[in-house]
This record gives sequence, C-alpha cells and structure tokens, in this order.
Amino acid sequence: MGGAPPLKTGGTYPRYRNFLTVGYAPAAFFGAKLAGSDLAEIPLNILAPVGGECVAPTRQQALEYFSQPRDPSSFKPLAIGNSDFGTPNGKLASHNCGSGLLDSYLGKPTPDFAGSFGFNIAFAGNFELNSLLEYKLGHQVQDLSGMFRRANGFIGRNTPRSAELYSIMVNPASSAEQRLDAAVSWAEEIEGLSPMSGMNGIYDADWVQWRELSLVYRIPTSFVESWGLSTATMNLGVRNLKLFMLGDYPGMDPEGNVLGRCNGGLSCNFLDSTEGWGIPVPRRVTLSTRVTF
Amino acid sequence: MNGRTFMTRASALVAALAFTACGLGDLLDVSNPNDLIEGDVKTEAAASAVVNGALTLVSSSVSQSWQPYLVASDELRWIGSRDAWLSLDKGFVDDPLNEFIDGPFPAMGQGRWMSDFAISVVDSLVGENPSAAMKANLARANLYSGIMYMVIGEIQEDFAFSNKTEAAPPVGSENMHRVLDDAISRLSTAIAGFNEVGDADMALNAMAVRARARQSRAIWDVVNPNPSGNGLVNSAEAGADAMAVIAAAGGNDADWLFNLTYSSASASNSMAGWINDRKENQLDLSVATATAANDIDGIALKDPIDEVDDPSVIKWLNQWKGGNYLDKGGIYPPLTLASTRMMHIILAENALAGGNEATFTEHINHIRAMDGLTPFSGQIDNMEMLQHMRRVTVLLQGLRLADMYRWGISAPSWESSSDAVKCPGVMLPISIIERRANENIANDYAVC
Repeated sequence: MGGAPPLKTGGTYPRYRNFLTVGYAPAAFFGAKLAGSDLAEIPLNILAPVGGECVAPTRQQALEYFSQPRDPSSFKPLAIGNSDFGTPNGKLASHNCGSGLLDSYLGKPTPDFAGSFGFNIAFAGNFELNSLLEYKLGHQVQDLSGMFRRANGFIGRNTPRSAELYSIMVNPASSAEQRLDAAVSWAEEIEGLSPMSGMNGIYDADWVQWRELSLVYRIPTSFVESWGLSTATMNLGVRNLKLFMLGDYPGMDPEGNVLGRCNGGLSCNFLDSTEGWGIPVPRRVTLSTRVTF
Repeated sequence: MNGRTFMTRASALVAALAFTACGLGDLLDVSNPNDLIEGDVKTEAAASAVVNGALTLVSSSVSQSWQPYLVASDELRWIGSRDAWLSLDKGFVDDPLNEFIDGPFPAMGQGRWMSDFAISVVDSLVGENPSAAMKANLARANLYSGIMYMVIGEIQEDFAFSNKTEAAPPVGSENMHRVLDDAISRLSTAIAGFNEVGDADMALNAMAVRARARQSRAIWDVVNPNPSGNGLVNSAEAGADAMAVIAAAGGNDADWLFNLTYSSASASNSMAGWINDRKENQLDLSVATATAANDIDGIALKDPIDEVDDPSVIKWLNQWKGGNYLDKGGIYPPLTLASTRMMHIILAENALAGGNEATFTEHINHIRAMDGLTPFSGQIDNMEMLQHMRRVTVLLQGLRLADMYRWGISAPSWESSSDAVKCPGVMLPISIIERRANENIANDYAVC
C-alpha cells in the first residue's frame, strides 16, 4: 500500500468495518471484540479507569454494581485491546480506557470458496427437471441491520432476546445475580454499534443457496401442431428456493450489502458483506409458457 | 489464393499493424492541457484563486468543526438518530472514535494546510511583484490562516500540523496556547498588510478577529489545565483591539459584524445542513422552544431584566434561518466570527475582571441599546448579567463550551461519567483518522 495507513471504508461512519490494511484480505473486518475470561472474569466496564487503563471487576464488585437496576446504556463491555490492527496487546479496552478498541480482527468478507453446481434431468419423455445451487464458504458477514435491532437504544432493542435481558436488568425485582448474568449475556450477544463498533455483529456466514429449481414440460408435437405452433413448453420454476446457513449468521440475508453498484472508490470496491438498509432476496415462483411458430 | 498473393497480403497486414502500433505509442504519449500540478498555482495569475481556495476550505472547516463543539455545549442538542451526536450531547467530548469528531478533522487539516500554503505562495510572489493587489492577497491569506488557527486553538485539545504525507508530532494539550499565539501573529500580519494597501474594511475584519483571538488566548489560560478562579479574563490587548474595532465600525451604537459566508458557488454550511436540513441536531431547549417535530416555535432564553424573548437570540437565529427564526432555514447561512457586540462584551468582561463596574455597565448597555432593552443598572448580579449577555452575544459562534467550563456551568444533558464533567476544560481530541495515519501519535484513547 505504499506506506499508506489502514484505509477504512465508509469514511468516518463507524459501523462500516471493512478495512484495507497490509497483511489481511482486502476489506477485512476490524472492530471491537469482547474480552475473554483470560483477560476479564466479568467483561464489563463498570469501574473507573486507572491511569487510562481499564479495570476488570471481580464478581463481588460486579454484584455490588448490579445490586440496583441498571440500564444497559449505562455501561459498556470490556474488549480486547490492541497495539496495532489485529495485534492484541494483552490488555483491555473499552469506550473510555485502554487502546486499540476497534482494531481486533473480526473476519473477512471474501470467501475461500465460491461456486455453483446443479443438474438437469430429463424424464418421462417430455419432462425436464433443472436445479442450480450456489455456495460461499469461508467468509464472514456483518449483520448491521440486526445490530440495530438488537442494540440501538432508540430505534432497536426490539428483539425478544434484547427485551428479555433488558427487562431483567431494569427490573427492581430482579436479584443482583440475575442482573449480572443478564448483563454478561448482553455483552456476549447484544452489545454493538458505536462505540463498540463491530461487536456482536460479524459472523461466520457460510451458505448454500438453492438458487433455482424448475420443472419443464414439453407439450407433445401432435398437440402443438394442431394449434399451428412448432414447439411449446411449460415451465414451473422457483428461484431462491431455500437458503441453507452453515455458519452462525443471524441476519436476514448474507448476500445483502449496504451498497449496490456504484462508481469506483474505496467504499464501492471494498465496503462488502455488510447487510443493512435493505430487504432479503425474495423467493420467486414463476409459471411460464414458451412457444415457437 | 496463391502463395504470392498470400505473402503480399500478409506483408501488408504486418506493415499496417506495425504502423498502428507506432501510432498508438504516439497516441498515448500526450500531455493533458487540463492537468494542474502544484507548481501551476504558484503563479501570479493563480494568487487570488489560491487565497480564495483557502477561504473556502477554512469556511467549510469552521462550519463542520463548530457543530460537535456546540452539541457538547448547551447551545445545541441532539434530536436525530445518529448516536455519536447523542454521545457529544451527553458530554463525551474527548472521544477520538466519535464519527462526528472524526468527520470534520480532515477538513480542519485541509483548511490549515491550504491557508498556510497560500501564505507561502503569495509571500513568494510579493517578493517578485510587490503590487498592492498581491499584498492584499497576502493579507487575506494571513487573515484566513489566522481564523483557522484561532478556531483550532479554541476548540481542539490537541492538533498535529502535518504536511501532506509527512506526519508531524502533536502539539500537546499543554502547548495548544501556541496555536492561538500563531493565530494572533497571522492576524497581526494581516492587519498590517490591509493597512498598507489601504483596505480599511478588511483591516477592520482582521482586527475584530484578532480581538476575539486575544480573548480566547486569555480564556485558554483560565481553563487549562483545569478551570481556575472566577473564570473572568482581562486581556488588555483584546480590549485595545475591541475599542479600535468599535471606533472604526462607527461608534458604540454600530451593530457591525464579520461573517464567513456560504453559497452554492463556494461551500455549504455543514452545521446548517445537519440542523436545518437533516434535523439531526437543534438549538438547545434552553435557547429556543420547539414543536413535537423539533422545529423551532419560540424563544426560550429571556432577557433577565425585561423578561422578553432575548433580542440577541432572535437576531442570531434570524440570521441562522435566513430571515425569520421560525423558518425551516437552508444550508447556506453565514457564521459570525466577530461583531461589535462581541467587542463590547470583551470590554465589559475586561472591566468586570478589573473591578471597573461603571465601564462594565457601559458596555453591557451599549449592547442592550442596540436591541432597545432596558439599561442594566444593577437589577441582577454583575456576573449573572455578564454570563447572560455573553451567551446571547456569541450564540452560534463557537465559543460556548469554553465559557461553560470557565464559569462552571454544566449542561443538563451531561452525564456524570462524561469527559465534560470529569475533565472540565477538555476539548475535541485528535481524531482516529489522524491517529491511524500519524506514527507520532500514540494509539491512546484515554486522554481524559
């Protein structure tokens, strides 16, 4: 890259996490990644930083914090700190402590393998069955629409799991144990968007899409000629029949992207596999007739 | 086809291909007359354009950078959907990852670099051609650079003066007063230049901006490293400039101002785009009331003596909306950098800080007289009056957050864990786009 710093797609918009940086696949995802138990028993940033460093709470401290109802907007998770892109520094980072919060490697949008396969079978004289399946294996996709639904405090948090955890944390009747468990689950499953951009949003998204299945019937010549035609066929087809998700991607459609076709530039070329602002590819059933004369 | 014919045709084809290839070589070896390189703008013919370009970039930058600064204060509030604005509204000022701190940062670098480049280019040209026009260009370049440095010094916690791809070390929070000193130096050069060519109007503009910069320099000392004392500043140099501006503008009654302007032919006002057009932010409810759709429908900030909608607020909001503050407004309103009202408030504060109550009252009343308000005569506490008059006099002029810090004023929206509460005095950080590209800046997010 000629000494250029890592290039981020999407300008300053923090939710787009594709980067161009040396040593990684084009458009690799970088963002916040929840700290593991080796760094923090309780991965919640609920204590004041000391000297700029994050402080992981003990279970007792966490229970004390959750001895009263807590809105999940009032705390953030503890994430892995980094000294450079994809280089963990062995420390913690969060929105107000540590460094390299958004520099953890989270995956790549380009698949290791992609292709298609299918068959074409003629049977019973005038019938033909066609099928086509496509696949992408070995890549990740960001479920940005899902991140909004799960995590955004204003236009989201309306999934059953978000609502369940939220209600436990703000319920005065919950115990500290219940609130703490809900808060940890929140950090592990729900928390995302700015400032924890990328967290709980980028998933293994291997898929096989049954792209097309069609049944063709060639109407016998004796009938066709009596109608004054040379040939006639009827076709009953289904497109996007079934999506088989092999990874853990929870979004609507791993083929979606926030950008369609556009004219060049970093984002047009590399802002990829980020599902948002759109609807899934629809299933389509068609019945058609083709005649020649 | 016999062998001879084949050979003849083949030879002709080879010759044609060779000719074509030679032709292609020449065809691709062209100079595009529309290409411009850096050297092309270092000419006398381009001098004025270079300075105008600097003005456009500086104006654009100011309109971008004032918004995060003011959303963090109690002048603007978040009403939209982008939570990074909300974060600023809550007082999280010191966040290099905030997209709305990060977004304007490159524009600030461009405005700074281009205005310094304009000084360099035109300074060299003045040496070759010391005409009045060229000297005026140089004075303008210094004015625009001075404005950019002043704004950087007013709103940034730190800054790096990088040069193209050469990364510079950060100035350092403790040294940011030097940026304001540099602003004052450039503005002084501008004033001298305008005076030399007899351009009194531009000299007045530069003098007014220098008065502001000098007061901001004094304010910097009060809020760094932490706010101290009663927050009042007394800058004799700012006062001298303010007096000169008032005199040149027509006397104590003159209601004069100096604006950065925006248009479709130059640049849009980014802050207006976000507020008037996109409606992501709006005037704070302590300043203006709003409908359920968050459109302004009245003035909330009242004059403390007459208890009427504050006329200064109406004045600035009318300007902001392009006529009437109840209008939707557009994306090209001007931004005020300095005014005679601001000069009076500088002089009033100097007087109050110096214990000269009569002069304080005099300048407060010059402003009040412009709006037909009842003269101040001790109806409320002097400090209370100063703080109110300062707030309404410099509304939407990129100064409020520092005023809040120095006077210990908190925005109701600030969270107890926010930077503004934990580290009063902290300003906007060097954002992540510069940190990633500048090897001199530690990847350290926790300044506050």
